[in-house]
Amino acid sequence: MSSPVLERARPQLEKPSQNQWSKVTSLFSSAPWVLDALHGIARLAELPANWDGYGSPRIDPRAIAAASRFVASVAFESLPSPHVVPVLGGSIGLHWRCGTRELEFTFQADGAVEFLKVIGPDIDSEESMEEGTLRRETETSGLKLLLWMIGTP
Amino acid sequence: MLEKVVAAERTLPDFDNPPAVETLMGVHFTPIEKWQGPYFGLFWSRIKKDYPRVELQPPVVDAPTPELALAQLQSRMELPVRCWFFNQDETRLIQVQRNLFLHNWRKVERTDKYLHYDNLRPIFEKEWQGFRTFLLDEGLGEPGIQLCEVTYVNHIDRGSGWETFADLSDVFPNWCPATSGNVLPTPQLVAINTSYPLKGVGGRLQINAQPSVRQTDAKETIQLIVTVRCKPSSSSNQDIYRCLDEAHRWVILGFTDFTGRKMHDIWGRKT
Repeated sequence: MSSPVLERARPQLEKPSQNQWSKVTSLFSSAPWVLDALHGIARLAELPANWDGYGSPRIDPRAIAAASRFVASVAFESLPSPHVVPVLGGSIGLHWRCGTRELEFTFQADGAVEFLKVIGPDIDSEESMEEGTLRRETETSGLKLLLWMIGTP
Repeated sequence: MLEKVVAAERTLPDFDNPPAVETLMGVHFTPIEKWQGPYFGLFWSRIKKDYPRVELQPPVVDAPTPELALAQLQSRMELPVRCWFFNQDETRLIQVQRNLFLHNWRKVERTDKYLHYDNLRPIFEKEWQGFRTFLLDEGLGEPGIQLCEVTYVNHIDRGSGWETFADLSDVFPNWCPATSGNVLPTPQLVAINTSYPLKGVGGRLQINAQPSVRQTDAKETIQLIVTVRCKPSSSSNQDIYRCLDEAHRWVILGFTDFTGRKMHDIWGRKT
């Protein structure tokens, strides 16, 4: 059963009919950056092979779908706008920065989502970085990291 | 059975490739006084073969009639639960709460065949009759029907008839982007909420258009929900089915009238 607390914390799922089964995220109740981010992700599909001059393949449609779903699931106004970038090997990167904290997600064609947390002004210091893979419940784990980035305990 | 197309003659507007992704039909009734949580499980045991998965949901809290509003106020201390029972391939769903019985169908894959009302109504009849029998067998009485409902959820994706909200009047002819001084640019987003009285059937048709992102594939779409709720003459099955047929007729007429001819061509209008 959906927790009422969780319902309030998540982006508003538009339910003009409470009886509806299929789920959408209303763009009216989403953060203004969501549409730009989705368009940015969609534009990456147009990149040709070898888009980086180093033989990278085209961006994988599965990576595009995964990154788009993730953006739609974290459509909060309190988050800053992410920077959308193509990544070597046909993946997609979403990069957020908030003060001295940075967070990067890489959506790969095989469904894996890698993250990189950076804190502090010295980004070359290993102690300021943490990386890993979101293996399950990508949206929940990713949201926790985003909350860390904006300083919510 | 689902694959079989009922050969009934269709006199309503019909489309080869309608944008409907989900439809539902059902009834709202006065809360069953003796209903308790365990009855959800007892009912599930009767339908589990066809609906093997269950999920708890928060209840629908609409109270479109005074009877339902009063019942809700009186039952605020009760456990607020609605049960969803999913069929094997998760294309159909039965929703039950103490004042509600609904049957939903949805398109899972974009290539799935659209199931017409003619195909779905016999399924609803079977399941609803099963629920009525369950209520009688358990001594819970006959439900006092307040409203019948038919709802169609449509997704009109960006790129399928519209590219920006400047094109919206092609989709919905009643939308006009003109402003009095031509100061404002094209709107970035537009939502529409309309309600029409259906005096002949004692009900209301509601249309809601929302710019949205579909959660399954994050595709930008306009979600167009068309709902008709109307009151049957009595709680008999005959009157319920007649009322659902009338609600369905108005959903189709309302959807067709509300949307533009360019879109009808895209959706392959046949009649």
